[in-house]
Amino acid sequence: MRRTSGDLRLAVAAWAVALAVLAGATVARAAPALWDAGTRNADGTVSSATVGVSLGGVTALDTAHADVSSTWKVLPLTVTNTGTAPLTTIGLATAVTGSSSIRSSIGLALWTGSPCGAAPPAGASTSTFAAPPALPTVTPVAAGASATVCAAVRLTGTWTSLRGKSATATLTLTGSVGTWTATSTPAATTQSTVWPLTCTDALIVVTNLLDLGVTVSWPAVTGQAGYFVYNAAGTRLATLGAAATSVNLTYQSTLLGGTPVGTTSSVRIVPFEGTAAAPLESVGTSIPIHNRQVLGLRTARCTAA
Amino acid sequence: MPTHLRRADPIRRLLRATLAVAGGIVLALVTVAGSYAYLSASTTVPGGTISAGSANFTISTGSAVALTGLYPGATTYGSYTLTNTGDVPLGLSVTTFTVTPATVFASAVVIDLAMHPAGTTCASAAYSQVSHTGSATTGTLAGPLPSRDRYTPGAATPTRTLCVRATLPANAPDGAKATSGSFAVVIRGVQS
Repeated sequence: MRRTSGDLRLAVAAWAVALAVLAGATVARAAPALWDAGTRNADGTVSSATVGVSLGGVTALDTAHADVSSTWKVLPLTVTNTGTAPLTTIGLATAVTGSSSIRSSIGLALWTGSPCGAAPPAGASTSTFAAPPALPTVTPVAAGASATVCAAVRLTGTWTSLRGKSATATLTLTGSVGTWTATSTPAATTQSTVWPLTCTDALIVVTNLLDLGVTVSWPAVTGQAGYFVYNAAGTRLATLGAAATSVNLTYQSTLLGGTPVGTTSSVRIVPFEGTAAAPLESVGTSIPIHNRQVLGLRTARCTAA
Repeated sequence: MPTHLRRADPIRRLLRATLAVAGGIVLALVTVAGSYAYLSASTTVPGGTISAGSANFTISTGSAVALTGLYPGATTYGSYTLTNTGDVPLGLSVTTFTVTPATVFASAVVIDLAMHPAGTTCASAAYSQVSHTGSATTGTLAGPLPSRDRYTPGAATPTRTLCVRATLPANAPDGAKATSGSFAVVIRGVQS
């Protein structure tokens, strides 16, 4: 029998079919049908912490110094972590305003310890308002926890050159954890010197038959550029020169204008250094002024009633 | 060469030989079967029922997992209980993993998943299985989740602890603080 090319093709086709069937069976055995249980959910919430810091007790340091003294006024300041994350770093920034000539006479010391004692211990961070000291290390502070920083102030120098002046230090804390930061609400303390004003009823000083008032006078303040007069609302009523030591407050001069009859207001005399355009103001002293009407004449008295 | 002088086709020879051997085997079997006569008896086994098993599992928590209080460098943990309520061991895989809404915090937080024996303390567990950062999920859950022992009466249903860990890197940006979000993980179970 003669084998033809057709027989060869038939044989090759038969082998191809056989191999395909064998391969299919092999694949089917390698990937059997597996049961699928479907999907389930694992859900939840995730949240980050808050960062916060506060500084308490600063205003309690306010002092109206009646004289210079070597004695410190010591009080505790409270550093509180008001966030939900721990604070690993806490820094202090201090900004000082007011008279520049008194700053170097106001001593300021900061340290840690409990109780604070009557004076800064050796090793306390001690300086003046002219160059406020750094905050001692109080970290880490756990979330919600507080740390105590002792603070002390005093006034040294020559009293007559300090009278009537003041300076205010505003303290702001910055707490951080990692790259997160938070700052405290600024807290200020004012160190001033007693500056007594004298107020005289002007009933006998007739500057105008219908315009009577009061005269306020003061002891001169050393090294001042002048004085501002403010009303109770903080509006500047007048700017006086360095030589002024008194001011007459009347209605028609508008220094007391607009104040209702029968009410008590006040004026504040403020010494300032520098210039009137860029003043360094002390807090000054306020006096009450009572507006009244007598026999149809409007006048005022240096009194609260 | 004349056709009758050619050698027989090899395929035909092989076919002849195969038929000869098969015939011999059949003859032998027929002969042997007919050479013995055993006594025999038979009975009927009472009928029963058969049913297919199932593939099923559950994920449960006592309460919703809340991973709170994260800050740079901080880690917090939670856990779920995985229970195979079916009849076949399951391989588990995470099909989707999302953290919403899209915030600086959601982009910064890293959430890891790891399946461990029941009762594992997640705070001290190893996490090298599934990790989600930003919008990317990598890794696979270790497995399988075993099925119950069907041949031991009273055998406990096997469970596993699925630990979840959330971490904020130390350089997490400031904008990530005081933020909350939700995460959703979809896990598929397939017979293994």
